[in-house]
Amino acid sequence: MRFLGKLVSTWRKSKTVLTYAITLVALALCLFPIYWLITTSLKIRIDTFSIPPLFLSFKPVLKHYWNVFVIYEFQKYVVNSLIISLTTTVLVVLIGAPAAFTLVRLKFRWRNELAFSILVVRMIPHISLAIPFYLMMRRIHLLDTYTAVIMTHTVFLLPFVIWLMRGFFMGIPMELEDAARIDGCSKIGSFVRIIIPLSTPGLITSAIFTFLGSWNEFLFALIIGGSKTRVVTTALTALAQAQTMGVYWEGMFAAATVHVLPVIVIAILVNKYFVKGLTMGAVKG
Amino acid sequence: MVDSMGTQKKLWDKFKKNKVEILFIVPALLVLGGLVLYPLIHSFRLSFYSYNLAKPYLGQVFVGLANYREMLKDSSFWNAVGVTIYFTGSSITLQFLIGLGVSLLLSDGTRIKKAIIPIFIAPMLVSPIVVGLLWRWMYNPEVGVIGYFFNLVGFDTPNWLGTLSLALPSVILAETWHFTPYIILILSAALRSIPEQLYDAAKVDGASRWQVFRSITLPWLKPVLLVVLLMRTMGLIKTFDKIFTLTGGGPSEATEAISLLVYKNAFEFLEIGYASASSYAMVFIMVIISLVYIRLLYVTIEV
Repeated sequence: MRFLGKLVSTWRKSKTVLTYAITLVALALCLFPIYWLITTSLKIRIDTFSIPPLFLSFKPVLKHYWNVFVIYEFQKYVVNSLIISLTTTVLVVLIGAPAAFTLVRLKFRWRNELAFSILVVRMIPHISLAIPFYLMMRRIHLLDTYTAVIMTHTVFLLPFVIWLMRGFFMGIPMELEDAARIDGCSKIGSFVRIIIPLSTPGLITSAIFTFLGSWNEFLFALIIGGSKTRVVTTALTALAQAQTMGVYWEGMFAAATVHVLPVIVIAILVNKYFVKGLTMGAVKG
Repeated sequence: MVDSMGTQKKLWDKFKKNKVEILFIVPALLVLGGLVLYPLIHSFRLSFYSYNLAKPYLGQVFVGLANYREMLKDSSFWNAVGVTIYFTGSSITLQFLIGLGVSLLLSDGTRIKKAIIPIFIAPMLVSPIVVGLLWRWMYNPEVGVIGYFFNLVGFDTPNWLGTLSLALPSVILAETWHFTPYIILILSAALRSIPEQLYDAAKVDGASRWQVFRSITLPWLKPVLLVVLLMRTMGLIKTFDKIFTLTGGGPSEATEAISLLVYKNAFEFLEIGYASASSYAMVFIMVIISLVYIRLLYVTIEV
């Protein structure tokens, strides 16, 4: 009897150990490429190309960051990325939140169909929009302008925010608004003073996802943008191709680190908003 | 007569009463109408024309269904469809299996495990462009890390992205690294939302782990799984940036998914009409798939 008990507890303990082992492996696989990205940007050429690859035993240098920002002037591209992503975020939230509100509060005949078709817009391949957009922008001479790129980003990020805020607004009982209206508050007033504060988590999540979507976007920036509006993503691919002596990996990854690291830091700080945003609508409660 | 006047007045009253709400939604409708609907219609119209940007003097020539017919006869098109199907199918299976496995492992609510889950977000935050460049470097045949680990277990390092049979699986691996966290995060949240009482009741009834999984966990997860599968499938079919930087569609079209084919036709060959036709084929495929998924979703919810 006691032997059996010991067997069971050993089995249970080894299952726990196994679980933790697998988790550790999963974490390592998940984080290693990012570690590799950052460390490669800190290596000198000899170390980068060393066989076997050097994981820890190299002397880090900041030379490539210097190169990329002083010689290649990458900060221009970072600024462009910031301009486009911030403007897009503001636009999308300003347009999307009220629209979602109407979808939830105003009853009209084709309401569900409209909401559904907004969801369908998310399914449209970017390349399918990019072609007509390119022609349109070309005709009105808006190619390679911030305006045009911001327009494209706004369009493909708006549906997500509308759906996200729709979910949030559905969770706010109408009684609150009704109470405010009875107290003499105007409709817009009750929206601004009651609904908005209550749905701040939703707004923050929308802002985060919109910013991220625009920050990481490539296709529209490539096709609609050009050399004046070059953002970090398009600059990186340009850097990857314009080499005579082989690709400048370390420099590219220095730029990439600058592109990725702020995002990771922000994500760690606000990770609960990430999870909320991803699961909203998909998971009950 | 009086009645129609009455209904007109009712509509106007309704409009006046809901001025604010209507105002709220108008900008969004303008954006979506002008910047989505109009371009799509424009593109649809263009798919019936022959229009080469490099030969503007030829203008736009109406060719009817010629673009579509040529597309259906084009081996590159069918190659792209095949690549896309293989890429999407393998990626979704891998991401789903690994994602489900990891989230189940981390689902027993211990504080450490709960704290670990958000760390998995990291790959998703990286721009697909950077993912492509990073993995291209890792797959480097001479000095790449992947090759190094492969050598450790005793095999010879192949040229991952340059070998016809290995290129697409390599892309699939990079894609899996990038997006499995999405599945892990959503499934973890879904697993956490299963009420304790169900598990307790099952334990009281003496159900085994497997039975609990089959009759409680799985049915509860079904709607979430379908939504996640739908979203990811759509995302996978649309994939462009990653493949573009990893392989550019090569070697010799081995990784040329349909989005890359459309891009190539539109912006390298500059055949706008033909590209519009193939891009509409893409839209068509997406719509069919989403309709199928949504059908399945509603059936599941009903049951």
